[in-house]
Amino acid sequence: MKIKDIVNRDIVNLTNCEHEPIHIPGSIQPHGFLIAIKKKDYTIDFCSANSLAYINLRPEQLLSKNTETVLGHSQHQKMLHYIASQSASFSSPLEMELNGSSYNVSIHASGDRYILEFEPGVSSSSDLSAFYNQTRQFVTYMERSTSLQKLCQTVADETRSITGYDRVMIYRFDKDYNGEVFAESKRDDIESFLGVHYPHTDIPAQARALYKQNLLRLIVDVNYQPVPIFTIDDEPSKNLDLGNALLRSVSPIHVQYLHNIGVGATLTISLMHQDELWGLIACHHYSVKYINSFTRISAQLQGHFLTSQINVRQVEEQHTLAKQVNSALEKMLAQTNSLDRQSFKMIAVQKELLALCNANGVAIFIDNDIYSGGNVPSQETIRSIITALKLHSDKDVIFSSKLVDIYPEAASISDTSAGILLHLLDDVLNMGVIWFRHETLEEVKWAGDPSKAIIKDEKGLSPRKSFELWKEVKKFQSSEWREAELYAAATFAQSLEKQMHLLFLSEEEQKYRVLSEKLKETNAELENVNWISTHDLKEPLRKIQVFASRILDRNSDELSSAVIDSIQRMNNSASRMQTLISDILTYSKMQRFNETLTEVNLTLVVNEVVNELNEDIVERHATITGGKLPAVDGVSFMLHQLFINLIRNSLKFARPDIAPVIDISFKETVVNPERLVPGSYYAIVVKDNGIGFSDQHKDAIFNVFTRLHAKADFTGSGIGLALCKKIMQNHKGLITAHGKINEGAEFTLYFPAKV
Amino acid sequence: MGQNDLTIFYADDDPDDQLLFREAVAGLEGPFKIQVKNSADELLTELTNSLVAPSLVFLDLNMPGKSGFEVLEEIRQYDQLKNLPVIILSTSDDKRDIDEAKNRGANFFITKPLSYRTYKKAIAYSLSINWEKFKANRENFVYTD
Repeated sequence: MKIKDIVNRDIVNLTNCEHEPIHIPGSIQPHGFLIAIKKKDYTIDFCSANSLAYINLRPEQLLSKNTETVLGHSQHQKMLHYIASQSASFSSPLEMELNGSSYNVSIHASGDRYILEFEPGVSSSSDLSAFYNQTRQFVTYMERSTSLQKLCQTVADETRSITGYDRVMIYRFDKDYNGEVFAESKRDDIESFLGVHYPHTDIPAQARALYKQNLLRLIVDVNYQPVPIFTIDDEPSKNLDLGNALLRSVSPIHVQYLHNIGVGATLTISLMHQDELWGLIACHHYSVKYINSFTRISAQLQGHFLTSQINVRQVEEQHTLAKQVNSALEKMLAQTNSLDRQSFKMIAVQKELLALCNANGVAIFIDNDIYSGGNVPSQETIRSIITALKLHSDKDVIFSSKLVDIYPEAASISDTSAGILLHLLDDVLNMGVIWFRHETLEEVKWAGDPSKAIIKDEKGLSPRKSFELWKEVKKFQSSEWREAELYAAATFAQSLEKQMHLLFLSEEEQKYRVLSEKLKETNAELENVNWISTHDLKEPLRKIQVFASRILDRNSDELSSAVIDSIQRMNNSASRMQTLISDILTYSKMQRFNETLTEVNLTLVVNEVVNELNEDIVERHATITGGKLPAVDGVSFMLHQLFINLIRNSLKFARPDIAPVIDISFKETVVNPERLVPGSYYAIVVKDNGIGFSDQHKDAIFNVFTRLHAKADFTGSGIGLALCKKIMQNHKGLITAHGKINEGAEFTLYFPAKV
Repeated sequence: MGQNDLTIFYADDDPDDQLLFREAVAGLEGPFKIQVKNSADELLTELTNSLVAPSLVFLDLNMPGKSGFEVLEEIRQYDQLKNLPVIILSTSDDKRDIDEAKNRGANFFITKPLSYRTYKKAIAYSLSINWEKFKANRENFVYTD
């Protein structure tokens, strides 16, 4: 039989340690011995070289033997029973007697083999009562520790007292697996590592994978001589996965590391939270240290207990933080009851605003104004950061602990802006708030005196070296924005948004007030204009006309026809101006409508108007037709004016060859017509057979000074229909027009129907 | 009251209108005596203190100080002036002004015409009215050419 060892002899160094196959070292630590048996026939396939030292049998004596032969029938049966009942878990080891010595045997499956690891010694029954006491102790911790950190501290203290290690650290990972010593219990005379940070490269990915798989690792003596594992050389590249083996030999890099920091023995317990490696309980001893399996399980229980509490504690911490934030917020908002931009200046400098999300600086921006507090970059830089963030994402909330990834220029401002948290409250108005965090490096305090840092040799790793590495990894980064901090910022942003909108409303209100003042002034001036129209414009115009007519009346014989013509033209102009002024005056009077509406009989109004225009009507051979019109709520003189304008319009725009026929009829009651408040309306139609107009002008004709015809053809101020529109508006009604060129025009008046 | 001593009062602050009025009356047949006043107060003082009994008053509405409407109202407060014919001679043709004038006791309303000829006709017409018999109503209150 040819046997061989399976020791991995590849050279591992810092540059390739990321790829080191640490699960198959092919060797073990010497504080126990290992055999691996085939599942199918229980023959021994692998055996560690130190079997001789423990059971006085050399590997070649054991390999390819059946366990029943080696262990004896009863022990073999015990093993089979254990495997069947425990489903190959090694949480509580099997006790075995071999050659008169007691062993704790951990058994687990590895591929198509079982790995049996033998460690000498058996626990006493007092261990069991210790378990009970420990479990009771947990309840006390829970009550005693008010925060996750305190709980970790308690677990560290307790683990040290159970195991007796010189140092017990609770090590916590961030999302990138950079580590931090979160709690520590240690011998008084050794240096503290509390708060020390390590880069994720200190524990490479494959090591983390093993930590997740194998929750407990023990190194009894870093200076151990690795014990090779032998196997029968019956196939090439035969190997044994020791990933879950307790005795697995340690990576030479890790050993080197431990050497460098002067550690003699370690125990590492994985802290799993939601299937992720949350942290580690790392126990260090400065000399050789072995702890038996029951102590290990006790320590592991501490770990389980801790992780079971992480969720609860984290939620509680966030709750506590949220409570602090809310009270800070209330305090802050209470201080700012005045509503102007200065109040944002006040808010920005409140230290609570920084405290609520653990930021180092903050800026509130509104329009082009920036109000800042704490450590912030220049206003110009803040603006360009905001612009860059807006380009980067269209979200309203943008945060990053590494701004440099989004905004490369941040590299030069990591003293203020390594991390940011932006709440964009109104993109159009450019309102929002942005918090800043500086580079984490600035915050990290090196526990103890850095000059005392342990550096064994220049190339070796040490906490000091790790810190340097960690600094590289953490360059340009701030601490992570935590859930509770984000929540706090969001809560603040929400109230700020309210505040800002209130401010905007009040600013708008102020603007409206100013505007309304102006409007009042303008109105007052307008009234003045009316006064001027009547007395300063109308009067001279009238006089021009009267005196011109006086010349013509008295001296026409003495005047040349050219003079007479000129005077007449002058007179016509004055007359036109007169019409314009009085129409504008009428129109503006209608604008300032405040008459009360009374019942007006439209039939009577139309009759009156027809009487008044009788002369014109006769002169143009016009016919006015129509029937009874309803009574409406209105202002009599306005309605009078309305029909005067409409009928005059029809008379004016008659076709030269056809005698005008104007029909004024009540057509129907319309429910909910367009452009009007819903309700019932009387539709009264004024229709003529005149020159009409193109329907495309049907809205334009109601505008002031809109004239569709040349002055020479038709006289008029261009206000008549605008006035009609105004009058209808004053009656809560509407006038619409339809026309067809050379066929006629049709105006429909909608009056609210009387109930 | 004979035609011989027909005393006509006219209150208007505008000298042009005063000129026109004088001319228009001068062109008419009859011994009219014209008293032109520049303001409401002047008119009221004259009306209440003058020994000459006024036959007819032409009154402008828009004057500095008291307006024509106020004068009208004051005139009607004096017993001796209660039946004095008051003719409004105004630029306004606003229906509301016309209504108000009538309500306050004016007897007749002339919108200052734009032609001299009409102006003279309007003045002549109002002087031809037999005021003792004339009763203002909706139809005859406003002068129409």
